[in-house]
Amino acid sequence: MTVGLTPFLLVGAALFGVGLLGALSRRGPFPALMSLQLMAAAIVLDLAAFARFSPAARLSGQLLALLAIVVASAEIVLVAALTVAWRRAADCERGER
Amino acid sequence: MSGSLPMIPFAVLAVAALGGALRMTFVRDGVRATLWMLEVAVALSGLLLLLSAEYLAGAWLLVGAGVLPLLLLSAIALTARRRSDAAWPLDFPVAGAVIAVAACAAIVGAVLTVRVPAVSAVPPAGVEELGAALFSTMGWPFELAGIVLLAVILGVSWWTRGGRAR
Repeated sequence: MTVGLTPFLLVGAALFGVGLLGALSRRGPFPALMSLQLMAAAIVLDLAAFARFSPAARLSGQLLALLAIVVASAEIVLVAALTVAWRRAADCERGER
Repeated sequence: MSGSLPMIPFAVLAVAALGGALRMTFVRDGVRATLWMLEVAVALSGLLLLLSAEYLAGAWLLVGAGVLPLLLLSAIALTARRRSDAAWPLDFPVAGAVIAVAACAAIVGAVLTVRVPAVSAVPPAGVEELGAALFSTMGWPFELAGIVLLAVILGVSWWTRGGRAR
């Protein structure tokens, strides 16, 4: 038995849905970040699947997925650093009081 | 793997990715959630490998299963003052669940109703072809991604250099 484009897109949709559920529901920056990472993973999977199954997107699908990985990683690194800096500032303020 | 993709590896990797994603979303402990995220990243790399996107699979493995879990674990260790701080509250508001289920249903509906012209696999683009495209037709987006990364490095260095120094 073999698989085509649709199963990959369905797995991508399910991953995106789980990521969206986590991003909308969990409190705190880190669970939201991990959920956003899940949504980015779904997008990368879909782009790679389009690249594999569509002649028009053979090259551009993979390249767009590569750029999506870069942007998703940058966003997560930035928010994690912001969170650490914010907690550190909050600790400093608490120590001064 | 040029014409068709095997079902059994796909099913195993898809179940691993979805199961890991659900566990990651519903687990309370931050460290365990990060480990489940690592499992999802490995399963997704397997799926990308199945799609003959070796370069993407390697990049995702490096980023999703290497850099990001380490970064998140370090950030959790730096910000959690007590062990209990790493335990994340688990409260699912109904509105968030409804929006997520509706979005997922819309995507699934679109996937199942829209007819895709090509359903058989096409020969995959090799690394050499990707590299040539990155330095020719996709040069500007490649440079833009480099600028985004540079801006992130500068921003992170500035924000995390210490409160007293500012």
